Amino acid sequence: MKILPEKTRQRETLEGYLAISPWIIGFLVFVFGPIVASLVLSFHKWNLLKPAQWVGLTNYQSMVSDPLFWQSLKVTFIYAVVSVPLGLVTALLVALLLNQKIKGLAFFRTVFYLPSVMPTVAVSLIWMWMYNPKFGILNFLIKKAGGLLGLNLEGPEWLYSTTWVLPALILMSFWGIGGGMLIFLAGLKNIPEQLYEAALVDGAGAWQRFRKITIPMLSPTIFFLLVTGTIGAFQVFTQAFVMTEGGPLNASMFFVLYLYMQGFRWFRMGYASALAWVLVLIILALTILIFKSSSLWVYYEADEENR
Amino acid sequence: MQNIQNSSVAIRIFYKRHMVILCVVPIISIFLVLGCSKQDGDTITLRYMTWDSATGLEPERKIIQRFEATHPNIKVKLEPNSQGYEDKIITSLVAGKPPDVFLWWNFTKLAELGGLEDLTPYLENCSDFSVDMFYPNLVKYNSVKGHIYGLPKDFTARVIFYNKDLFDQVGLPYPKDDWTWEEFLEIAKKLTHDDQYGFYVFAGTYHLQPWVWSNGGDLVSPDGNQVIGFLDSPETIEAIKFYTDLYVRYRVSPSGGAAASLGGAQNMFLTGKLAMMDNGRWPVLKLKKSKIRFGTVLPPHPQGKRLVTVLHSAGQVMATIGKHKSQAWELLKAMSDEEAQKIRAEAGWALPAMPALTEKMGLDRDPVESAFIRAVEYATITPCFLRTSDWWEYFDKPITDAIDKVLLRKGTVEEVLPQTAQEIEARLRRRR
Repeated sequence: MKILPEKTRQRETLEGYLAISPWIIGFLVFVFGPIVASLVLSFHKWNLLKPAQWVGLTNYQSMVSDPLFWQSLKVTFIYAVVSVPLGLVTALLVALLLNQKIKGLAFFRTVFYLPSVMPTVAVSLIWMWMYNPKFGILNFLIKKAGGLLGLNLEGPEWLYSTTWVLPALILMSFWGIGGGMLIFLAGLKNIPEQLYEAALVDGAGAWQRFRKITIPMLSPTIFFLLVTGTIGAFQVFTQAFVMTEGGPLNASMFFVLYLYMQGFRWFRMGYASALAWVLVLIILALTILIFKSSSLWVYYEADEENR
Repeated sequence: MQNIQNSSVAIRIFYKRHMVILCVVPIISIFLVLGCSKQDGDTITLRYMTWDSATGLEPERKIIQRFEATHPNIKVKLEPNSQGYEDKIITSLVAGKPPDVFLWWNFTKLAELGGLEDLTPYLENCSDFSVDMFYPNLVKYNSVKGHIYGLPKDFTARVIFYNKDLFDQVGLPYPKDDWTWEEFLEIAKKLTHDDQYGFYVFAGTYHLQPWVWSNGGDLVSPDGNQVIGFLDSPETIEAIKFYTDLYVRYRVSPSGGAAASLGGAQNMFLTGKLAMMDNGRWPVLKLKKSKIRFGTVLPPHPQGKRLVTVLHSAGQVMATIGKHKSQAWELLKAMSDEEAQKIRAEAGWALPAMPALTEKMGLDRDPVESAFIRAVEYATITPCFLRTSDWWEYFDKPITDAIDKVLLRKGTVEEVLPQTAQEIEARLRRRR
């Protein structure tokens, strides 16, 4: 490699920065700026039009006695704890199926991935139809199934029932497993065939091969999907906004939806910013927790070689 | 390797040669954009924003054309925004670029935020326009604490729509304005069978407050500072119990889920599944086009008490930050005067906010429209959200939740209202 003269190098550096400046400026103005501003605002009372007023930690303190803060936290936690692991298992199962050598594989992959490409608002509207208590396909099928068994089964009121609204939204989250499925599929393709062949020679059954080879070899993939899935689950907004507006009786009041209401319905920007930062801390803590736990269950081939 | 170096050299040469162009093009285009918005001579442009859309904009266009014809030095830019309207207005105020004149309803909130120009002094110094032309009760809906912020665009009252065929089927006479709650309940019971319901009950404060007022109760004190003694008063509890019992006890109303799965109250009424409906004037055009034979009547009142109704009203307002306030005032008047009200009323979208005009157009004698007009004189109480700017967050949300709790059978009115009143007061105290 030829060493370039100092002046040319400086010039190249400058040109490099100039070339990426649209991105840097965009990041500073539209991402980093608002992040800093929201942190500062979280210590203020601000209704957008009147000058912001310093209130110290008041916004954070008032969360403790805000019942909707706790309710939204509860809803979001339940959603994340149930939908993320179940979503991972489902995505893995579909990926395993699609990893078989069958005809029309490309077709099936497309079919299973397609839903993930659709915008959430459109998906939400489709599911609202499916969940319609009187005319929805779900309750129709429940009724039919009941008829076959000689029972008079009535489906629940789904989105209009405090009991069923959260399960309904969790069920709907499986619609988006296509992304996870694709990553699992890539992970499965990376597992060397000879590991399975060796296990077969040793007389390992299908379950043992899955348990002792597939799962450990996939653990970095599972780890990645767990982290991104958890972060995503805590940021759920659109479905609840479109389908339920947090109802009935706040049974689907997700944290970000509540934050939106505080900020853009009631114009309490300071409180909304404080909520956002609490969410950041929660996600950060959970991510650290998952990272710390990873040494116990995530297996990297490279580690093995270094030992 | 050689190739890579060559191409990097090529790129550098490209940058050197074209650096000037790369930098100058954006700058020039910025100047071009700025240059375009510059005004020429003494003609000014006013911006008017509305949430009306599609065919609802036609009358507005006509009104603006009329204004421009009489004011050759003023151009009006119509900016319709049916999605996220409130956010749009607020953010434009924050950015210091609000429309000069816009349509608004949440007067308390924006007046408290300092975004609305107080129109009272303009009206005092104005000889060719007076709010006396409007229904006096309607002007109150466009005012906060005695200050007028909006000129009424149009209005509707909430009345009861009823399906004449369903009444005929069971041989019931059509309801009259002087009907009582007890009579209303009996009628609703007779009209409920199988898939058909007498009435639709749902949680919310706006459509519920006239029921409470008619019984002598209220949701919040007149100054908007107190709920204890109002929300938990015997009159309020009795009224909300009557309303929610229509569903909880008498089952003359579908559940929220059942109503939603049938497309909501309006669709149920259109398909003959709902015999009576509490609503504003909005479905009238659609109903007239349908095969449904329907009538309108004032809401019922408790025996021995005077009916109180509620109106929905929006008004044209002026932003506090604007360069052309005197011209904006001219536009404001032109958008609310008799001619404007007439253009809108003729399009059939709304009722004029002026009694003289409703008479002239014969609307007070129209069998369907007259109920809305008769309801105006009963709209004697200021709606709760116009009493405090904190209404939606501190009052509306918990009260709606409390009523939902009753409708979902998770509590009784006697339990949840006093409890909610205590919670609201506790939060108000912490805020102060």
